[in-house]
Amino acid sequence: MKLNLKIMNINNPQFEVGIIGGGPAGSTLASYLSQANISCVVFEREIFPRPHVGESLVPATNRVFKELNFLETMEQAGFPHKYGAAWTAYNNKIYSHNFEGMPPDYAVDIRFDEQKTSESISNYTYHVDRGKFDQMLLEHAEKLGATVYQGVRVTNIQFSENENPKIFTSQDDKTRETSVRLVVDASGRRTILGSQLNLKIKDPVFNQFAIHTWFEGFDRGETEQKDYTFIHFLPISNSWIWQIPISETVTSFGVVTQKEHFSKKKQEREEFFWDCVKTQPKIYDKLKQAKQLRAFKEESDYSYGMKQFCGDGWILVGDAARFVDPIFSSGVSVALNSARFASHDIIRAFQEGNLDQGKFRRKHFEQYESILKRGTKNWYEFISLYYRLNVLFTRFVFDPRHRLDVIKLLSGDVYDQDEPSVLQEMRKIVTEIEQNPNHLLHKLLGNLTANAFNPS
Amino acid sequence: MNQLSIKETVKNYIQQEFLYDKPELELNDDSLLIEEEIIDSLGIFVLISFLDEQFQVKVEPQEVIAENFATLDVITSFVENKLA
Ligand SMILES: Cc1cc2nc3c(=O)[nH]c(=O)nc-3n(C[C@H](O)[C@H](O)[C@H](O)COP(=O)(O)OP(=O)(O)OC[C@H]3O[C@@H](n4cnc5c(N)ncnc54)[C@H](O)[C@@H]3O)c2cc1C
Repeated sequence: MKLNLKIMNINNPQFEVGIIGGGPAGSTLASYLSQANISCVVFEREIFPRPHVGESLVPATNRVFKELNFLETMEQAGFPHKYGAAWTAYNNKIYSHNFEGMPPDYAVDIRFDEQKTSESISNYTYHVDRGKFDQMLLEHAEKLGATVYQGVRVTNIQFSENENPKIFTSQDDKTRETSVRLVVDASGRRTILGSQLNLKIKDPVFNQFAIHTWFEGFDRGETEQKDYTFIHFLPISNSWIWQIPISETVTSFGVVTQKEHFSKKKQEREEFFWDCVKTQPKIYDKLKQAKQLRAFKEESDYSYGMKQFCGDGWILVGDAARFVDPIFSSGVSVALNSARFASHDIIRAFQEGNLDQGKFRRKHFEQYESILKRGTKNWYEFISLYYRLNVLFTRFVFDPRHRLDVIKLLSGDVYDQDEPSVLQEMRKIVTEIEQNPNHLLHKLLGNLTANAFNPS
Repeated sequence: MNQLSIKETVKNYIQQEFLYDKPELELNDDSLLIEEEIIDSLGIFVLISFLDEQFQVKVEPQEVIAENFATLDVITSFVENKLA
């Protein structure tokens, strides 16, 4: 690796755009910029492929794949197609006997092809091995012209009025600096810039914890839903198991729960995972016969927001901007789409030549900021309502008046409207139930409240 | 529609929808539907839609309380009052 260390003036940075992180957000942005012939550099601390959580996609990713001419690559990679998602009820008193085996009931399945919008280009999306997927996308960015460094960690960013921003990197204990006009933080939950600039706010409501791994030989059955993402509800509140097909034979399993459940019980982590799976005896029996392929991995403290998404000389995309909760598989879609929206503002500023003496200002990202605010607010509201009363979600999916609107949200189509009417409708019902202690569903209200958390 | 037919209609529906896998369970006019979890949380929504479709009865959120849904008898008089 060789970096050009010549000191350059403000009008001539080494790269127009410097991107921290080569995950889905970083490589998508690098691809869009390269397509527009804007020079950019990506610094990725790991050497790919590396494992990563977040394997179930939603259809809104297809729009990005298509624009980047990446759909064919996705097809060739042979990732399992995801035609829908299914929710199964846990075997406790509330849900045990009445609906089992009777469609449409506990296994609520949603096929995305009912929803025909510009967002859903195909009627399916993908389940991905993130090691492979992230590597493919990063290589794609490189092929389109981005400069990519792997194994190079960004340590610090320096902003000053009279010079271009500088990105300090470290590799094998060697430190270098690179000048850019714009710094994009795509470092995921490490939130390099958000932390450095003190923008990060921990979510006051969500404090979830996840433990996950891969299994070989789990029998997913032979039904049409065998390649769906499955969510299995657990009898502890706000807790569930994901089941995501990674290949013909490999399946990813993860338990998500409130962090307090976990720490309160003080159990060994693996034991906790298996105890949770045990509450779904059919899954448990089959999973016990499968072979665990990887060590258990844990994720925690992943729900947060930022005071700002952009500022003078910088912008945040993907998880580096915000993450809430994995329940609706929105993370990679938000990463890809936020990078797409960011690229629009960046490209426009270059095309219109309206930089402020060669500098990017917060005002250049006005559109990005408002679109991302809207999208993340809608996701947040949807997720909150879901955790507050998930039976309502199930009900709306059954209801022909709402089904398509819900599918639209589930597809990742959240950026166009201020608040989709279906969310307002759900909110209204939840409020009524909250206010009426005698309501038959009042006792079902989850302890995660739907308080608005609007950091940005 | 007379009383028998409202009650019978609702009863048949509950049997088909919620007790299809429990033929041995006897459903009486005073069986505690909610308390004994014959109808679960999702079932309440399902039943409300049924009442709407079948009798054009609109159930307001503040009416979704045990007083109106506890038993078959109670549901029947609730529907009758709405239709009166
Ligand atoms: C429990 C859990 C389950 C999830 N399940 C799903 C799911 O099913 N579907 C879904 O879509 N999403 C899911 N997500 C979310 C998903 O993982 C993320 O939203 C997604 O990976 C975000 O992409 P990104 O590019 O923003 O960040 P990342 O994918 O995290 O990429 C960031 C990259 O930056 C690099 N980096 C970090 N620091 C530095 C540095 N200092 N210098 C250089 N490089 C650096 C990292 O190595 C990494 O490669 C889940 C998340 C959690 C916590």
